[in-house]
Amino acid sequence: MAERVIQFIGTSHIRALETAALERSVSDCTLRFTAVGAPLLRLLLNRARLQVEEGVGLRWELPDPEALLAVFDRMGPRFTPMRTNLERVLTAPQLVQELPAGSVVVFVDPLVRFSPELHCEPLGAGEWLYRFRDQPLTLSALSRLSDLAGDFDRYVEPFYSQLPFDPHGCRSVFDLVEAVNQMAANLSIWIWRAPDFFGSSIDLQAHDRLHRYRLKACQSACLLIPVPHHLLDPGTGSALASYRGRPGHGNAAFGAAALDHILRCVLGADLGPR
Amino acid sequence: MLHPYADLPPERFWRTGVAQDWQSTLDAVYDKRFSIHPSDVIVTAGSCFAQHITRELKQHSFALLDLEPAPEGLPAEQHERYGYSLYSARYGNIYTPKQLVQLTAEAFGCRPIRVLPWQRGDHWVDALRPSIEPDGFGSIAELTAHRRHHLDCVRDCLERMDVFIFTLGLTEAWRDRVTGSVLPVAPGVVAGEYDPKAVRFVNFGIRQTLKALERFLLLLQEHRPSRDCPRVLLTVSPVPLTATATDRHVLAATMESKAVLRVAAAELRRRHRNVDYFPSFEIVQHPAARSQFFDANLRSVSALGVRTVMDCFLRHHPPSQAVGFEPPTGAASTEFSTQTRIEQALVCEEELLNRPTDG
Repeated sequence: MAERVIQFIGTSHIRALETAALERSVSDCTLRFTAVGAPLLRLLLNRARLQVEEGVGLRWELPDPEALLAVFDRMGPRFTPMRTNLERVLTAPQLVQELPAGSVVVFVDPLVRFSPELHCEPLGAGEWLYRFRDQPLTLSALSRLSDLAGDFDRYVEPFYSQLPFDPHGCRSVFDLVEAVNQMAANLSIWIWRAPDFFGSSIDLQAHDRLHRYRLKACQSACLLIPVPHHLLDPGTGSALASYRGRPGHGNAAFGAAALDHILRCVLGADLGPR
Repeated sequence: MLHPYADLPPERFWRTGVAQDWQSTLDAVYDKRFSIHPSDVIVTAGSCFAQHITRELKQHSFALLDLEPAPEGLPAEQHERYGYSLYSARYGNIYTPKQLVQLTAEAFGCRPIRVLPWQRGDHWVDALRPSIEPDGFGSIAELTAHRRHHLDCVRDCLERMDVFIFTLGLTEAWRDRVTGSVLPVAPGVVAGEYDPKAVRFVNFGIRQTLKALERFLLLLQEHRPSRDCPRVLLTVSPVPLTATATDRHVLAATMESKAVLRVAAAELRRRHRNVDYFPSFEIVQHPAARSQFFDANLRSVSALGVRTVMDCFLRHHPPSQAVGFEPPTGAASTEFSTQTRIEQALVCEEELLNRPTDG
């Protein structure tokens, strides 16, 4: 029987999962990882064209790569790893290789995020009032905010100060999700939301409702991987202190526990040998 | 022979003030009573033409109050869809003085908060500001909570403003029979269902229009912490009615409606030293413009029309020098139609009356 492919695509939060995957094997499954930093992901989504090549995969078509590389000539060494990342994308623009029918795709931190600024309060009879930075907003308006439910309306550095955002370009990660969905039949597509690692107070319920609203509104084929409550501080909703790694990211222990949680969700309880 | 018109200036004569050299006398159409300084805190409201005024004031760095701003992170092209950045708060278009006074009374707590939800699918639309949430509210409770927040913002605006610029738009409206609330648009146009038992048509006359405007001034005076009334600049929207619910021709209905509003503005100005009138209506309807101040539909004001109105305004109320605005002398020439494009569409519920009906 052919092995099932589990393809992870996402931002820097993917690293902890990839490291954890090296430590274990999952029976009948091949785990693949494609990392694109969040600043680069915004840029690629907005500027590149996503080409679905049947039987081959999905690749970026980036106009004027020289102009993109030139951005780094004007920036400090802090951004060198990102330049390397961009060079890698330019030489190998394949985002995803061929996916067999029935594969699982997990988007890791695809700008569908948790923010300490979003809260909800009960209005009675199961109704809620949502506030973002104390301003009441509907789920519809919230779903349009940058970096909260898959949409974005600007770059971040190093691109923010160097390149104009294309107002006609793509500004939603769900365009990428849709492109991936077209690659093969019967794909099972999931979103893994990286928890907050700063100890902020996160209203998980509000985010869950918002993210579900967004998926429904854009008729996405995606499913949300449930919040891993056992990895979170019940008092704050952010990751337990013992799981914090480099600023804003989880450590190796978190990676292992998160991968475990993700696989449980996407494959059911059958995790194979540990 | 001596007669009382013998020594009058050119703008007092139709031939020299309108038919000939109209551009050089255009500024005299505005009999300015008070100045608006760049530091004055301004609040704008009114029918959809008021959106042009808001944009221009913003563009020229006037101190326009916005106490219900778009949330950070909402893309700019979504602001107006969600009722942000159109006016000083998220009230949408206020077409009639009665609508203005009921909003003011609710904001100051002199009238119970009325919630009029219209159902659209599984969502709810606020009938008193139907264009501010394109997907509606999730529940009536949510709609009510948003309305309370909005009224707090409106009260703040009314308390803080130095100048209130209000564009009078319509006299025709629909009134909820139970609450007495005047609606900005008939039920069934944006959402809800038209039920003659629930709403009735009203066409406010001069007495009711003046009474509403007087009540508005009184509310300001009574409830502002400073116990004063700010400067109020009224203008009449030159935009004709999209449709009339009276049994008359739309042209006749438009003329009567605009006449009522224009007379009410003039009368209010006569009665109150802090009230002035700016002639948007007169400029756009100027016969010498030969309809070039209207778009092809003969209803929407053209970019040239808006430019001409606002240039006149800015010559009388120069913006901050730092902005470097140099208003052209006299009226805008037709060259402006190619130089200046006002590309942003207005948010206008009334326009929706033009939509073909289903079925």
